[in-house]
Amino acid sequence: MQKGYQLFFGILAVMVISWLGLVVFPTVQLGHQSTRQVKEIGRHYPSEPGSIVLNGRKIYQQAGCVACHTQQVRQSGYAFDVVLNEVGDFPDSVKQILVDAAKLAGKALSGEEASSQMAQLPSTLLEGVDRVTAEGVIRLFKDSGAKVAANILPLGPDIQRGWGPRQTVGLDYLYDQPLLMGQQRLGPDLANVGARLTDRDWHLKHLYHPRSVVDGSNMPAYTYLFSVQPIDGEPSPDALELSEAFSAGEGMEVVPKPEAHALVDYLMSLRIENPVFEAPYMFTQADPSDINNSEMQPAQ
Amino acid sequence: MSSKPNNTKSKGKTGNDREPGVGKAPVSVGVFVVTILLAYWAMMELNTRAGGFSRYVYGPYESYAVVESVQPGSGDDPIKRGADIYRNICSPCHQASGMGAPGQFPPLAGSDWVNVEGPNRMLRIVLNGLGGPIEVNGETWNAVMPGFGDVIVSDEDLAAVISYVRNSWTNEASICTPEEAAAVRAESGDRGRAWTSTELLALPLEVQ
Repeated sequence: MQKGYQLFFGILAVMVISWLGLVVFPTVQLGHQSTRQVKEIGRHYPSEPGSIVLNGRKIYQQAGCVACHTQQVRQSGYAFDVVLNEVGDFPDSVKQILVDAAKLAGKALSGEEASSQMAQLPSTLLEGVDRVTAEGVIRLFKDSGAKVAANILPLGPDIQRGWGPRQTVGLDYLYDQPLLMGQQRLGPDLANVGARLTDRDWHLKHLYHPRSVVDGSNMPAYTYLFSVQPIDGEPSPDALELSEAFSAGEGMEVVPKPEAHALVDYLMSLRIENPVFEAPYMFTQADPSDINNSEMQPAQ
Repeated sequence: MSSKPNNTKSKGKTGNDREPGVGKAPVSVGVFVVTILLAYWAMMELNTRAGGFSRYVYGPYESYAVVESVQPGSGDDPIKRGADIYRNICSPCHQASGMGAPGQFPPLAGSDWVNVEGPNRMLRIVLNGLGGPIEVNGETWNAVMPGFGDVIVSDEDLAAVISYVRNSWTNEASICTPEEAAAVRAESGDRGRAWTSTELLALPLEVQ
């Protein structure tokens, strides 16, 4: 072969460059992350999944959920909400600024309306404006003593659908091994499903027969996660309460198997409602103890 | 396998008989131009849209500084508020790096006037200015700094910018509270002339 060494080194260079770009640099950039204290929820994030959640994760893999559901929320832009947090010592001048600012924006705001805005704090002055507008409005209040803040507002179709309050970032997948990010959306995104749908019975019914809770759902029924059995004396305490059309028949009951409970535990552990540095948003949840409570529930 | 170089030029054999070979053919200059332009475009893309390759920067945020600036509640953090004021008022002379300019403006980063127990002397310099020779880190400077007492009118802002300088770059010193700023302003705000370093050195480090 002529110039074999040129071919060899040419191919080697192509492979090495791809390996550097696809493996080494991403590892340097995103690898070696560790859990972080998130002050909004008062604990480290992400928390290591417990054994029940890990079992549920296996069921999720076995049932092929990842083929139709993603776990990634995307963000396409951001805007700001301008919020008046504190009026300060000079309410009259703040009121005047509110009226003037409305005039600049081409709106009429009477003194009484301004007063009512100032009475209910925090009060949103502007919604979804760009940075220049937000900073301009904040500058108006600069010397008035009032505290006005621009709160970040993530934007994008996924966030608009309510699939999550922020985009997912590398940190969210720290314990996701193998990665179940998914790539097809035949069903909704599940990155934040634990926070979106908090009713355990709903999840169980939905797995047993999706159409029993969501009209027109195209999800297959995972009946094999449940045992349909004759009622022996008293009905089982965790038998599903199904409507007439989906019930198993007279004298029969539908009882979730441990696999169904584990899968629901896993689903309810999927939460991205805490802000992280790289995906900030205004966190307003009042009760931090609510987060990850599914891990504490017994799986029966 | 033959390695005879004349294989490439062999016109006699045709089709499957011919051993493939490597020859030399002229390449248009346009190919080089296009390659270099593509490389340039790729570098520009990486430079402007890769977020500095930081692990904390995801689209649509452009850079680490943007992510940092949109953190909720960042307006309440005195250090961040101080950073804004520093950028507007102090950085033209003392530079964003806090290193100052050789022979003109003394450094704030690592300065022995900044890394002291209390902000008393710093507050006075910012409020009323400084004139005459001053020794910073063993080097003598002779420059005039105007007072900013009537520029930074709010005591919170004054405390914020002092706190920022005292806790940026390599500096590690205490936070200046708005109360300290108010106390110094009340005492010497209407002094009307700049301080000299001898006057300042006679004063205590901490706000009384």
